[in-house]
Amino acid sequence: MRVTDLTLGCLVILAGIAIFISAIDFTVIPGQSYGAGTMPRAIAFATVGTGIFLTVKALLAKGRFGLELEEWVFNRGSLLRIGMILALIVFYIAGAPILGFAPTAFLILIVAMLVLGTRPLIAVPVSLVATVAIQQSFGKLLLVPLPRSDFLPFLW
Amino acid sequence: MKKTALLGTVFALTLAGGAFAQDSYPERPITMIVPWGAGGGTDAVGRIIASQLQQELGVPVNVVNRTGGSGVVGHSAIANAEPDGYTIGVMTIEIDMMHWQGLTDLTYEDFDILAMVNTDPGGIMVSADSEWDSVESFLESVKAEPAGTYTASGTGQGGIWHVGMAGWLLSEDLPANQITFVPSQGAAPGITDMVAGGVDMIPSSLAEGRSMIDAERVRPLATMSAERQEAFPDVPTLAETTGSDWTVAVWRTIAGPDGLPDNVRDTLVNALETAYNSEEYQSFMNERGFGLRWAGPEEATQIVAEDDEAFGEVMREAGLAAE
Amino acid sequence: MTILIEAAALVFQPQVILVILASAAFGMFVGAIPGLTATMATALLVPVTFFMDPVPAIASIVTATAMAIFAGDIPGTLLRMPGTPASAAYVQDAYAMTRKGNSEGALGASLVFSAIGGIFGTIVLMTSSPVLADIALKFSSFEYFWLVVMGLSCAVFVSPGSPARGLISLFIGLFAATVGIDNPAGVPRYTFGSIELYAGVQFIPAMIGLFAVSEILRSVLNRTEMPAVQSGGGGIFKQQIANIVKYPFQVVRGSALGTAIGALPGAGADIAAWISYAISKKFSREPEKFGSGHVEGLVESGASNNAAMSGAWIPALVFGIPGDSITAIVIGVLYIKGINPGPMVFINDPQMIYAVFIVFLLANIMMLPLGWLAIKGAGTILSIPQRTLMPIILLFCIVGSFAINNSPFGIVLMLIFGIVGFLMEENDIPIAPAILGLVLGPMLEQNFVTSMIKSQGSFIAFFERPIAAGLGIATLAIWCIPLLLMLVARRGKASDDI
Repeated sequence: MRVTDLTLGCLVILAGIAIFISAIDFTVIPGQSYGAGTMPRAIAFATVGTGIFLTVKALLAKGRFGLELEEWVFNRGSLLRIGMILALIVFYIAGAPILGFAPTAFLILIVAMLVLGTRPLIAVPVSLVATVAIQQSFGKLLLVPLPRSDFLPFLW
Repeated sequence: MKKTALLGTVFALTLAGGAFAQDSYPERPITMIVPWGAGGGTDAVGRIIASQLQQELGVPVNVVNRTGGSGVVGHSAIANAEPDGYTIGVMTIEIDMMHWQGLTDLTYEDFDILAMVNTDPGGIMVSADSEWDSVESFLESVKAEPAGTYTASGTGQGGIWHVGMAGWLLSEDLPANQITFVPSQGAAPGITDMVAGGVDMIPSSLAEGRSMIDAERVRPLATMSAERQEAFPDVPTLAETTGSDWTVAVWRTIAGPDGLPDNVRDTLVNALETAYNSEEYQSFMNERGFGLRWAGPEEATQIVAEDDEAFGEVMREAGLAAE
Repeated sequence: MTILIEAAALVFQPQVILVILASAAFGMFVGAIPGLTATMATALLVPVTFFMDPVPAIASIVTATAMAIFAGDIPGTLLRMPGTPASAAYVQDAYAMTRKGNSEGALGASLVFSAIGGIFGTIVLMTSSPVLADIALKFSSFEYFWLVVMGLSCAVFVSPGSPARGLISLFIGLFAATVGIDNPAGVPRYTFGSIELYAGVQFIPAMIGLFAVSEILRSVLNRTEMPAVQSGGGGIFKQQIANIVKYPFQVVRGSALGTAIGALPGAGADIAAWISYAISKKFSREPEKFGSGHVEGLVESGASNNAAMSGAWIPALVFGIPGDSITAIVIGVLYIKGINPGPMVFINDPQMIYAVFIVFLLANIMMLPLGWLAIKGAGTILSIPQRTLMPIILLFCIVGSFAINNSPFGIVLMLIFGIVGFLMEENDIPIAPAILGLVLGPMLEQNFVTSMIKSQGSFIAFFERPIAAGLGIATLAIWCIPLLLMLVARRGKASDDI
């Protein structure tokens, strides 16, 4: 999923302008000429400059607008696997506070492994061991307050 | 009959497990939220208190740093926790300032304050290379030159030492911006900048400048407290020198979310008092030059409330408060 | 001499040695996991050190951090998931070496030159810390401003691809760094009313997202398998002896620069590693090989990275000023143990300070055998099929992103930056400048805005102080020389045409 140089240049210019507009309302430090807006504005100017450079260069090379799509975009398997990884992260964010760390983690591991093609005979024990190992090492040894599962008190 | 009642009670207890848990508080690890980064003063105080509480209460007390957002993030995490006594935290003076700045609606009233365990008065420090050897001479220079000639640093914009400096200048009948305040990310970078010649004065606590004072790179001119500090007996108070009655001090309190059950609060306050009086805590605070101060729940809440009002006034006058 | 013997007696005790070994294993474990950092290892050790004597307490922290920093190179080298912004400087080369089957050579170089850099830094620390600390105290916001700009410029120019794309990456990082209220004005920016965003974009979750999650996404896309480990060139250490013979000057230059930059409070290993990598490329006889699995840059910036870690102790011990987040924590521990950092400590407790120095040397020497074990063990990671390994790494990423501030919001950040990183790579935009921009953005803004306030808007003030002027001119030269060379080349071509 690749945009052409000309598109990239124009996108960068637009981003720079957007940053500048967003920074207009930032107040200065009372009694000073500088403050919250100074840095975003400086970034905005530099961004626009870079965008112009890219655009001009692309125009000189007779570039066109457009989006180049590689093979994987049309491959259902690839899209499924990428979507699954992203969905599993979302599942953790939503599920862990309810289910607790251990069940959520186990589900993520087992689903990801099976979808990616690990045989169940390997995926189940590996997921189980990895979940307990991570839960114990982080939760107990490193004292990270992972979400608790009240129905699995022996883990804590 | 009696037996059945007893059995019934046991049965009910077992069933209701969770609801009765508070009777045997604490029965699982306690989380202590520190709104500032690991390694800082607040973190150190939080950790040493936690280790003492752990001995006292018999369950692990885990320190969790929730940093960022000038303390807003960590304080919100404490206030929004379940008021069951399993989440407490270190509440710092910023709670009395951030709502005036319009950063949050959170005030000290959203907390159950358990105890105050430390205070440190502000001070006036200049570089050892500077011409000033007393507050009077420094104040003279500040008065003689136009506003903005001199600069100070030592905390973020609208931070405690900024407010402290503004309050001092106002008490000397000077405008709050007579000295330009250059925001920094804390006392240490501010002091380094002053020694490098970047700014003229640091209004932070003398404890924060201690190693540089010992190294004779920094000269302490005054303490903004009613009495001299034990750790710095040669440094005069403002009242002794310029006659200003302005005082300011940072404090650290241990607090939980508002609405802790009574038995939980009592258990925690008792344990905190023991922790405060422990040999470890006392010697640690002395070593670091941190001021020791104990106040129970009522007294601590009163101090916090008074500061809240006083800071609101200064911040409005200095133009630091949000409209 | 008697002081040294007394100091050695404090260190060479069974209990202390045991503590050092245990902390080494702990540091190795924490550092090797993507997303867990040396700073975190230190923070986790603090409560434990409360119950130790001063020497083992310091020893445990020193050893654990030294190990964690090296171990951070392991996921970087094997999986292209660097553990620190500093190791992102040379991850391209290290990973390319892994793809060629020489992961042991890459990790060996990290290990050996980390140790050499660390020992070099320690020797400087022992012999000349007061002098260096004095120089460090001459740095005000103007000098720091230029130093940060210089580090960022190096990142833009050494990254693969065109400088314009490097700049885009840098601006993404700098812009992300403006989120939150930890800016000089204390005003919330781009927070959209979210309390979590007040804290800004924390760089660890962002780094895990940009490097690790995007790498996971790519791997499930293409399902490539890693090449097996080949002992290219015989033995982990044997290759490194050849490297020392081949690049002696680079090692010394990297170590010296790392120590110097590390001694500046707040600058640290991140800037040092990047500037060293850039210098190495600039003065190399084979600059075209950089980025394709060439060990030279790894040698120099690896040494620089660990030398900076030692350098950070200079202002910490002499003035009690933390050089980085690790020394900030250690200063706290020193106070608890009744050792007050400052010039007096060299007079009051000299045997204690020398004991700390001996621990430094010991930690760096012990790193070699322990690191060897870790490298041998880590090699087995490559033999796990990706379909089983990647889900486990995903879980580590999630936990690491959560653990840095104990907040689920870290995972949200990781997810967002994972997608951003994936799209950036698809468009040949290098990721590393974005990370450095994110890490150094607050420092850049702080020093830029305070300098502008102090100078009342005059740019001349940025060149008025001698050190600032020198750094400023050097930074401008980084930008102007390539442009001039381009012009000269064009002019030369034009005259040829005539």
